[in-house]
Amino acid sequence: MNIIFMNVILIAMILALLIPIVEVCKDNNVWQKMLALSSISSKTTMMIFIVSVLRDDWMIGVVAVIILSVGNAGFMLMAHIMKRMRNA
Amino acid sequence: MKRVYIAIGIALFIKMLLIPNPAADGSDLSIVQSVVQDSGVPNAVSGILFRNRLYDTIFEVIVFTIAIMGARYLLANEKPSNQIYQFSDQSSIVLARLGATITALVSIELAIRGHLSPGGGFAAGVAGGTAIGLIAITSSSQLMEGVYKHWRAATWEKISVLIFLVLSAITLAGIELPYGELGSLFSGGVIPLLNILVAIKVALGSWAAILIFIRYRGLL
Amino acid sequence: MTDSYIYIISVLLPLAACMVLFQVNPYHALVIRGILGAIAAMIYAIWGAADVALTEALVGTMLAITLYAIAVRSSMVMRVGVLTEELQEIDENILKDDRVHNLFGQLITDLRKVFQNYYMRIELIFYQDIKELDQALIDREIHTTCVRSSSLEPDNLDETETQPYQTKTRVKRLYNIMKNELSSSKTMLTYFSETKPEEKH
Repeated sequence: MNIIFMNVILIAMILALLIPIVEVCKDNNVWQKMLALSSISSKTTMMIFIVSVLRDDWMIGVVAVIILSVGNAGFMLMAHIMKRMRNA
Repeated sequence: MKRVYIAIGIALFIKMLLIPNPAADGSDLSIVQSVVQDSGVPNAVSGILFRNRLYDTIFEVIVFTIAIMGARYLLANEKPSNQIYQFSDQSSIVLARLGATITALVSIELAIRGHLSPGGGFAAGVAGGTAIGLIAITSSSQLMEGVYKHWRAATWEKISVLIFLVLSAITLAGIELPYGELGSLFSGGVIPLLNILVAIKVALGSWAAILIFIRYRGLL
Repeated sequence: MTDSYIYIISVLLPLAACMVLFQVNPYHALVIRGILGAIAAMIYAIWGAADVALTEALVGTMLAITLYAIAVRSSMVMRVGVLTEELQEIDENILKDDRVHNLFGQLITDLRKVFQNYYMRIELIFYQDIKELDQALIDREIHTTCVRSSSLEPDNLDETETQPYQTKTRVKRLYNIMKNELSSSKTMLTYFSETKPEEKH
C-alpha cells in the first residue's frame, strides 16, 4: 500500500517535471529558460530525495543534498553571463 | 546521404531493442562478489577501475593529462585578456565560498574513502576541481595565479601522474601490497593510493584548465 | 510493477539530449545543457550509481558550464575598433538625439541587427588614433575597424557625403555576412587580407 502511494507521488512529480520542459521548448526568452532550469534542478533533487526514502538508501540522499547545496553555482555563473550579454 | 545515416541510426535502435544483450545472462551478484574478493575493497567499481581494468585507467589518466597540456599549448600564443570581470556582488561570493567549502570536504572524503563507499579518484578530483573553480571565479585571477605558482601545482600534477604510472606498472607486473582487513581504511593494497593520486591529478588539472581559460579569455 | 516510474524517467534523458541537439542559439543550448545535467544526475542516482550522479552533477553544474560559457562568450563576438571621438559623439547624441548626427549610432544598431541572426554580439573597443587602430587590426586584437571616411581622407569630400563611414574587417566570413546582409548605405566595406602568410595559427 505504502509503496503504491509512493509510486503515485513519483508519477505526479514526473508530470510536474514535464511542465518546465515544455516551457523550455516553447518559450524563446533566455530568462524563461533559466527559470525552467532552476525549476528542473530543484524538482529532480526532490525526486532523488523521494527515491532515497523509498529505498532507504542514504548514499543517494547524500548525493541529493550535495546537488541541492552546490548545484546552483553554474546557474549563478550563467545568470551573470546572460546579464552582461544583455547589457553589452 | 542524410537519410541513409538516419536509417542506420534507427536500425541500430531497433537492433538494441529486439536483440537481447548476450552478456546479460549469469547472475550479476556473483560477479560483484568475486571482484570484491579479488581486489579486497568493498567498492567494486574502484576494484574494477584500479585492479581488473588498470591498463585502461592508465590511458584514461594519460588522455586527461594530454587534454590539459593541449589547452595550455593551444592558448600559449594568445595575448592574455586585458580586463577580467570578476563576480563582485556579495551574495554570489558567499554562495560560491559556501559551495567551495562543501565540495572540498566531499572531495577529501571521496579520495580517502573511495575504496570503501561509492566514489573514487575521478569523482574526488572533479569535486576538488569544482571547489577550486568556485574560488577562482570569485577571487582575483592574479591571486589564483600566485597561489598556483607558489604551491608549484603544475609540478605536483606531473609528479602525481608519474607516481601513478610507476605504481600501476608495479601492480601490472604482479607485485601487490597486502590487502589487510576488508572494509577498513587501510586496506585494498595499492587501490587507496591510486585513488588519492588520481584525485590530486584531476583536481590540479581542472584548476589549470580553469586558470588558462580565465587568463586568456576572461570570465564574464 | 513497482518500478514503472524508472522507465518513464529514463525517457527524459534522450528527450533532453535532443533538445540540446536541435537548439541553434548557443546561449540557449548552454542553459539546456544544464537541464540535461540535472536530469542525467537524477537518472544515475535513481539507477543506484551514487558516485556517477555526484560526478555528473559537479561537472554539469560547474566545470563544464564554466568552460563552455567562457568559450561561447569569447568566440561569439565581433570586436569593432573605433576612435575615441565617436565616443564623444555618442554621448552628445544621447543628449540631443539628433537624426543627422546619429549616423554612428544607427550604423552600430544595423550591425547589431545583422549579427543578431548569427547569435553574435558587437563589442566596441576605443582607440586614440588611426595608427593604433590599424596596429590593433594587424595584432588580431580586433576583428573589424569602423572609422569615418573624412578622418581617413579629408580631401575626398563627395565620397564622404554618400558613405560617411569605412568598415574594414580581417575575417572573410564576417566580410561575406556584412556584404550580403548589411543594407545600410552609410558605410563602405573593405576586406583586409593579412599579409603574413608564413605565420601559422
